[in-house]
Amino acid sequence: MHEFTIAQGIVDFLRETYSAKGYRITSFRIALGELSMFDKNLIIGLVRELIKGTELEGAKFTVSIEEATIKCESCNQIHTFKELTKALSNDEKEMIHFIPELISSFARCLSCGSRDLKIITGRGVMVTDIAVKKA
Amino acid sequence: MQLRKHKEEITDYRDYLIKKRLSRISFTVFVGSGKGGVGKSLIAATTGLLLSNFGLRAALLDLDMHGPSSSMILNITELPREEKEGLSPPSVDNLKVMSIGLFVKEAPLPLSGEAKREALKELLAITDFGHLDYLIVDLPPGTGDESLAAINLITNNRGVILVSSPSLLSLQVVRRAAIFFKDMKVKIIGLIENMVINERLGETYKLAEELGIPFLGYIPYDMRVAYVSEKIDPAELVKTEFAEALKKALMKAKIID
Repeated sequence: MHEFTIAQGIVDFLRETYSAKGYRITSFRIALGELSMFDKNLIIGLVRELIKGTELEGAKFTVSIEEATIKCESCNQIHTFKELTKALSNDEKEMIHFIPELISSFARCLSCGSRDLKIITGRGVMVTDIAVKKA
Repeated sequence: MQLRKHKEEITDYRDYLIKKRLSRISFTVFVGSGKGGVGKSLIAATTGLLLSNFGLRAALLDLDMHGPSSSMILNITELPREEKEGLSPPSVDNLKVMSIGLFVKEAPLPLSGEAKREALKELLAITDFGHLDYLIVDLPPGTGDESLAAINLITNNRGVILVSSPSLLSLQVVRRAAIFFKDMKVKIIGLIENMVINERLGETYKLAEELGIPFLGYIPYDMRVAYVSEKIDPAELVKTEFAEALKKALMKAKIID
């Protein structure tokens, strides 16, 4: 239930950073990095539930998946998440779900075999496009 | 009424989670050296066990991202458990233990500087240590990304125990580390000389005096703990001469009574 921790973290963060300072949040966007492998619909449901009865109730929000790109620092080849993780086991994918950087522990560049992999996009979770009104 | 868009403010909710989690920890003890191979990880793990045996709520966080060894020292193979509040670390003798080593087992850890900082941040954000009296942080050798990131994330109620071996080479590196921690405004709890064969007031004591930091004592070279591959039972580890000497050092540092 890693998703619950993330959803709760986002809601608590928004309430403490904006609501507690006298702002009313009207909308926000949650970008889920593909590498984190979060269940988008679960996050939507959890956030919807968690904002009920709080200062955030009524705020519009969207959740999008940011596609992951991973660059091999040895040969500059760019990989997609699906390409790199195709051969991985579910257990290995779960470890990447917890700590995306571990992709270099389990995957290798498909062109040269190097493990010097750098996450370019789609790493973790971001809250962005936060629109607020002074309450 | 003005509508403000915080477009540029891409916010990292993990900062909030980390702050919340750290607020439940009374004090963080970094165990550092600057030098590798001085027995830092064993001291960090045994400190955690001793605190736990004293009835204190303690956890060990292994931040050696390239050579995590705490899970091996403490014979932990269990994975952290996913729970509502985050990842619940496995424990041994009531000491909670979190390490990147638990996730990768024997796979390599080819992490760049930025990747190490991100991984550490993630680890701190998702791990639910609960309420703790002490969090012991086993720092890697050197004063690089992991140490910098840990110091920048764990900003309150913290101190460092420095570990040196009797060798002059080790002392030279520890001196550099001490200056680093002072500059980063991390309280130096004291200096321990580990792997001691002949106990006498030597160069480590002089270095502590020169730096104006407490000298916490000597830890003997203990054959029983010298080869961790022999898999010492944690219950046996705390009964060794090594652990007895460490206990005295922790008492001197007023970490235990």
